[in-house]
Amino acid sequence: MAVTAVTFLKRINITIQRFEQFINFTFRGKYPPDAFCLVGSEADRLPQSPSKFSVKDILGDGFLWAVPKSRRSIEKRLKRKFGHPDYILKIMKPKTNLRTCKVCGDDHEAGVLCPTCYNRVIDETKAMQDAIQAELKLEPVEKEVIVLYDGEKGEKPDETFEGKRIVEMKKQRPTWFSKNLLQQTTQNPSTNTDIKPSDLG
Amino acid sequence: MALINVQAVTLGLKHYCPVLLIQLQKLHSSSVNLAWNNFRTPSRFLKYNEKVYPPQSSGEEPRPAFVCHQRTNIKYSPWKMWYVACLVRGMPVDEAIRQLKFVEKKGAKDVREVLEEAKELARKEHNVEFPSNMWVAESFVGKGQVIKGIRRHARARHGIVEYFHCHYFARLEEGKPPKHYYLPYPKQPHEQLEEWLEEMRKRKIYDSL
Repeated sequence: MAVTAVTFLKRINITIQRFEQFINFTFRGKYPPDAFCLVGSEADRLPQSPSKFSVKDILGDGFLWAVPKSRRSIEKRLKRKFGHPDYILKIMKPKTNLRTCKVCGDDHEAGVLCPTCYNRVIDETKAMQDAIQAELKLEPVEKEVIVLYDGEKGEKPDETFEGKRIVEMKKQRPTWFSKNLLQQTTQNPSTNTDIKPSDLG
Repeated sequence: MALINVQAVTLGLKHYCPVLLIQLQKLHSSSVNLAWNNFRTPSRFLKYNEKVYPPQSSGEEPRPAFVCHQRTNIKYSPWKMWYVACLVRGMPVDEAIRQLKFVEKKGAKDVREVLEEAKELARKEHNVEFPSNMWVAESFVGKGQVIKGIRRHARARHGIVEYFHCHYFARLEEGKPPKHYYLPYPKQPHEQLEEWLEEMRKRKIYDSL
């Protein structure tokens, strides 16, 4: 029994060897043709056919369809609509810090310069600046520059303008723009020596 | 100009997104009452101006003059405009216009213009001598035209973008505004007492002589 097993194995070995010899003899250093090539592990690495679109791509990722879980209570609804005075109040209250400008009559917030009046000043300043730039262009400013409006040049003698560069504006001086900006007050200092009771000691 | 058919990403499934409207034009000559082709604006509110009241008897209290005015299809959300409309209710017109100057909302500009126009109309057409002597009796908002568009999201999804318009209605009445526009208002102690006394006196002992 053992003898037949051994001889059987021997025979298998011999056939394998002969097969190998046959292959070596046939291809003698050359590569075997395509038909004889084994397509082994390469096949596993080939790219698969492009995955088809399936609804799972969108739904299967744990994507939750957003839906309300419970009815919003009236308190929540009102809080959303009106807010709360202690947090953020959504309803608007009328502002109590509005004042009327005594010069032009427009309204502005308290603590803010009247926008219309201020814009008027801004525009006039810009006009003056444009006139100065047009006059001086790119020269360095060595002398003091004075801006004069229509008809003001003749008022004062030319000596006052010595050492100063004059820029003429071709328009009337605005009524709100005072000529006398450097004098602090027109009132004479008081000679009265009486003291108010609250100022004593 | 109008219809662009937007095809969704065709990933094996073929489905068409709803039509994307760029400009609204009348597309049909037949009577098709599609929502986006419906250009009717509200007209019932202004009809109150044309109502003729019968003459009043000498004993009756004089009916105050009023003006109804509106502006339709303002490009602003009606839910946001509601806050502006609520601010102005029950105020004298000049105070309302003054407050609206300092409201930082897009709709405040339109509301202010409506009130100013209403004052002018009152003076010209409704025989009101002093338009400043008016107060805002009614101020409310309605939903106007809604134009729908599409925006894309990731993963072959789409979102619908809605562009809202609103109508603003205002009614000005002549005279001084009431102290409290809304009821019930917070009552003073003496008013509370009066009310309590009334309630007490209303009680009845049933089946008594």
